[in-house]
Amino acid sequence: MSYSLSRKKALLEWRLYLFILPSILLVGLFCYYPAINAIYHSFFDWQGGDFKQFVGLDNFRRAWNDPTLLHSFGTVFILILANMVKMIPSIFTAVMVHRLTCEKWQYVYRVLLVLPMIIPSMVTLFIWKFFFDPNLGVLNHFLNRTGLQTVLIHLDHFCGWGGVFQTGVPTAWLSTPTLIIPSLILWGFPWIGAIGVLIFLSGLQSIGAEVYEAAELDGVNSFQKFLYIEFPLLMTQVRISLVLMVIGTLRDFYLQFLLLGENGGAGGKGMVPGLWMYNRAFVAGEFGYACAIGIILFGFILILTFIQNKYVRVEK
Amino acid sequence: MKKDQIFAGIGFSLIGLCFILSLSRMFQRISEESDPKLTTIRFSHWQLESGIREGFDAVAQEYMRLHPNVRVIQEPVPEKIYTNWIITQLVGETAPDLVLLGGVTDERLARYFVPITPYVNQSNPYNQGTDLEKLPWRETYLDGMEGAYNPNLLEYYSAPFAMHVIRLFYNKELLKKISGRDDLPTDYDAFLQLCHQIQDYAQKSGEVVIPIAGSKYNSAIMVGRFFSTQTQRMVDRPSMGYLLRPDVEILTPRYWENEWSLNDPEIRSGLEMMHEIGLHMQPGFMQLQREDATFYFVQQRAVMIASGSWDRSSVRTETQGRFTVGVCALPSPSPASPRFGKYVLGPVSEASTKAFGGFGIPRSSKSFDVALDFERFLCSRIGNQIFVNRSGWLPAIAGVKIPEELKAFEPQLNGYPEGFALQWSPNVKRVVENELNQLYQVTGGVDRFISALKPKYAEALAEDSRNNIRGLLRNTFRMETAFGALLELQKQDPHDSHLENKIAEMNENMVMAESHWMRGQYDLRQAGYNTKP
Repeated sequence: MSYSLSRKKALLEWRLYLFILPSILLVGLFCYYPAINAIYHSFFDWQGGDFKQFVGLDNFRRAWNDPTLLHSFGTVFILILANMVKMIPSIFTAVMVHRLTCEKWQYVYRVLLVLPMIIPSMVTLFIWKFFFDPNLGVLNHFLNRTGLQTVLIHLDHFCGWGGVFQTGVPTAWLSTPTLIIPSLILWGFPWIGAIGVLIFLSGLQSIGAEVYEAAELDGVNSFQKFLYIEFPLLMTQVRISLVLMVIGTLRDFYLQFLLLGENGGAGGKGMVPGLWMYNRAFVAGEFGYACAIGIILFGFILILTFIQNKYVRVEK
Repeated sequence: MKKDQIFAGIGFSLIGLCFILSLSRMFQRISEESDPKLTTIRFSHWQLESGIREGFDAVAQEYMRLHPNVRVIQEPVPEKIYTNWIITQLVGETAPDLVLLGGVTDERLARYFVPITPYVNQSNPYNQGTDLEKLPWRETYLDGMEGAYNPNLLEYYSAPFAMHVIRLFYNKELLKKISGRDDLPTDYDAFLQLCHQIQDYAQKSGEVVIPIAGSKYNSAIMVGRFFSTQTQRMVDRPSMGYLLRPDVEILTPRYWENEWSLNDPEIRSGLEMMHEIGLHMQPGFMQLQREDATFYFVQQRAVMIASGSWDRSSVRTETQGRFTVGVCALPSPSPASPRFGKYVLGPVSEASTKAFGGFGIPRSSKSFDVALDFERFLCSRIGNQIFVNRSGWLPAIAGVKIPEELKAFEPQLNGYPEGFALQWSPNVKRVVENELNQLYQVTGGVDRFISALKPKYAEALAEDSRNNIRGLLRNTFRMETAFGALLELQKQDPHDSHLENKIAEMNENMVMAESHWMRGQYDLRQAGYNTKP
């Protein structure tokens, strides 16, 4: 009964479906068609032209034994862990902006946070690349001026880092294998992402004033407020950010590509799965294999997102 | 009226104005293109170096003067996106009438471009009145148009218009100030001594100056040439095929058979040279880009920079009014050199330099005849002369006068064949590049580099070999279809000599490709590698 009623209703309002049809068509054409096409081509030995040969699961078998791909997953895992830590400054910034009692100043800080977003990310990347320049870069100048370079040289001797920091020799951040991952982690310092802060701020703004008042009556201090009120109530936003961050870190490779080049830099230490996929497709011309890497990456992202949704729970 | 409404009104007016301007521009363009008396052709390229666009523009202006009913439009596109841009344009059938070929695979070439083989065998009408007028177009080239021939497709798809050589650019005033010299030494040992002298000067004076401006791009150009002087004699070994030129299909299996190894004295010697030269570039140069190295040179922080003749105009423009730039060939170790002379035959000859560039004409072009005619003009003696005079690039056509300021770039015809470099294909290049830091670091050296590279090198060779034989197989399949079609055509006209030649040529090519494919498979199996990836 209910089935026939809803069907009838649905048929009566059929014109409404026309409104969502363009969106569905566009999403299908630009999102689903390329993805399905990639799945299809991952079963072929294909160089991007008309000719292709069906190879079954060969590309996936090859990926399983590909040391560069396996190593790249290791690298991206380290970067995900680092990015988790890099979320902390954004949370703290959001809390501090939220706690500003003067609304005018809160607005000013929000504007200040959003302003850098108008700079194209490519420009930011190139500025960072210049920061890392061994001879003209800001980073080495800063280390020299502050005396931190001397500390690093002593640490190098003490910990046996293999002479990456030496007296009188500018540190080559992006062409020394052992410094590549630290450089990638250092990128974006002080790691206050405008979007992250805005997401956390929106979460903080939903906390009612009465909660703070009750806490103050109980005599909780600032840190306890953060620990017992703000952070637990921010978990929805933290989970969203975490999911977006994991997907982004696994999928994106523009940072590594621009800073280190298509081969992942010295020793291939900066190679991540996305960059390897690009390398196979556009350097080696193995588009079929690159599609297979893309599918593996997709599966990996799907599993991680599922795990996050299942285990990073938000208690309402 | 409220303040908000005024602002909204201004905003909407601006958008409306922009929209009207865009529409009028579009209609203007449509009306120009639909003018039956006027033919518009467009040509695209990625040569954004200083002077090149002006060179093309001068040729286009002269062509339009000769043909008032033709309009030639230049479309420069940045190199980084050029390949992707052109593929999109080709697929969408909106490509310009002339496309500078770069990064276009054989498959795409055959699918989207018109072969110009019949025309290269005819004389170029724009060479009339010169000693080239009766010669087939391809014979008017300095390299016999060898660089434009596609041996896989057996066709010419473009006509090159320039030639390039590698040179060392140096700051004359800085060199004089530091060493008292006016020019650079031609001998490698003397060159190295000069580098030491510059370093000593920098240390004593406290001035920030290094001998050579390096980057991943510029260093590869320079050290690759130094390395290959040490393998000149190796190529001449009986086991290397007596070819006097490096052949990948011989070098690769010989490596697996231990006919040569990374520990050979010649290879070690070449690496030693690379290490030495690397120490005279700025620390960490492997992380720097081409423009970073040019910046160093222009800022007078480096005395020298190695690059190709394609950078001449850019270097000249950027250094104008700052200092005088000298140009010379890369120094070479003499056979008498106690350290590096043992494996050297002599200075490397540039006689085998191939012509560069060349515009392909897409099948989608509506003005094939005009596009071809413009290409003929650009690659005639008169057109090429105009281009050379304005762009500062070397000519590709015989008899074109090289301007005085380009004399230093004239290919040096006397000398010996070049040896081989360590990297020649994508995977090998990748593993070598990834380990180069071990060679160039102050604490690094030849041993560290070899021990880091050795475990990866043979496998990378195998991977590239596998890709190569797969490509050969694909080419054979593709040729089989065309071969079948040609045989059918021959049945209709058995006396067509052109067809007969084409069939014979294609047959030979297929046999060659198949033999290379079998040879590749055999070599891989012999070395214990899979033939499939």
